[in-house]
Amino acid sequence: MGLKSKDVISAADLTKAEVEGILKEADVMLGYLRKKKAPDLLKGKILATLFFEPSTRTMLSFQSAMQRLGGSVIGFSGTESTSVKKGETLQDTVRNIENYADCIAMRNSVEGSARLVAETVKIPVINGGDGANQHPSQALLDLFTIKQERGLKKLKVALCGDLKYGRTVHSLMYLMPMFGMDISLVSPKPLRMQEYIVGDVGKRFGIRPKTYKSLEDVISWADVLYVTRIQRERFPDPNEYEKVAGSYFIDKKMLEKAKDDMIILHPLPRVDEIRPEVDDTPHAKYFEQSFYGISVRMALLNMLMGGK
Amino acid sequence: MKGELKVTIIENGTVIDHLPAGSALRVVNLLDLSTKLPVIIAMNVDSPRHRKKDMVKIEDKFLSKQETDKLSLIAPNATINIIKKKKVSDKRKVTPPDEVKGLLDCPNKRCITNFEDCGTRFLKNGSNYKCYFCESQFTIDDFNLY
Repeated sequence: MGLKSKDVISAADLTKAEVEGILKEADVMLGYLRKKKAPDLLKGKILATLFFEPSTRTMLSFQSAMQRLGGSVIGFSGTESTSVKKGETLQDTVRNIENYADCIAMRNSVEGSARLVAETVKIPVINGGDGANQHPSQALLDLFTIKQERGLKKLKVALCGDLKYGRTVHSLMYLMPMFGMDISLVSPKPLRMQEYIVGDVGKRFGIRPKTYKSLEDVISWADVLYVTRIQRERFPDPNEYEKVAGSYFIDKKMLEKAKDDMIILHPLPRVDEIRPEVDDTPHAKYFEQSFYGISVRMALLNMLMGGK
Repeated sequence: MKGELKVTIIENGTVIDHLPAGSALRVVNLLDLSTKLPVIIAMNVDSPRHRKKDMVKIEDKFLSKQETDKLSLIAPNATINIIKKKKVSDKRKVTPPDEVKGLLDCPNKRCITNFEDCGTRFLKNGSNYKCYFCESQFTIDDFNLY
């Protein structure tokens, strides 16, 4: 199965049928991964991973996914060794790269950069994060993790932390309500989600997520706790950051109030919002996320390049 | 005389009517009319439909599609009258476009359109305008129009 769109730029572009198709394909890929044997579906194809902004998990996950399917990878992480450093425009850079590869997976700190690249080149483009805007492949793998761990049903989900600049939560907002999930938003006031996203999602799915200031308010309610890092660099006053950051952490004591089967997800990296003591509880699923992520990215690459 | 506007008639050009009261000077600035052509402005005149309205008459000027789109952003109920030989030869209402291309700068400083020469695009979404690239949404007051 292919995708209707040539590219994967924003979760807001995806239909429920497309998301279901991606998750179904990811199931197949997960089977290959578990057997440690995947067919060479993308043999002879080249993926360019253009990470203008450094990345650990997302870039390696795309590279691993491509190689698992028999394809090969070119690319860079950071712009030090590229012509961007010499002042080349993004459009010129990718016009050249489309001659070398069959697909681009990219990250750039500038919002809208992935959309511009998709408009510029003829080959498929996957957005691996554009500033604070979107990170659709992460949101798809989050959804896939929920599907594997809890099933896609009317779950109660609390999105916590930096909801203003967190790109994964922006993407999740457009995917979770497709499956009837009830969303609560938990963040300090300066990091609340943009009203236009809440309004947009509300109009699209007929929902109105509730807003809370404290994790305590949702800990016993949630089936899924999706935690994001509160980014120090976003606060003009470091004292304000300290006040807020200290109030957003999960430890074993807090989990005493949680449902037994509640799961905790995090796009990682974390700083101190999830204490290490939580890692060995049955709630912690954030390391499984990166495993599931490979199958979702294998699915995306195969759907965009293989056309199976 | 009641119901009659004492505003000079133009020979050829455009009359922009049914502007919100108090908006005429903004329209003049928006369309960059202040230094080039004879412009007649009427403000806070009686209007049966709007109680009070403004009006701008421009001699020897016919608005382009881009100018009409721009005007519609701040005066969505305006009417454009094309005047030829002192008579109204065409009359139409402005329509806010579903997509605004190349007219507005994205107020999001982290948007790619503020870094690369790629033009801007905004899609109308209710009363908001959504940047096609960075997906941020804005009300018309967020844009630097003048």
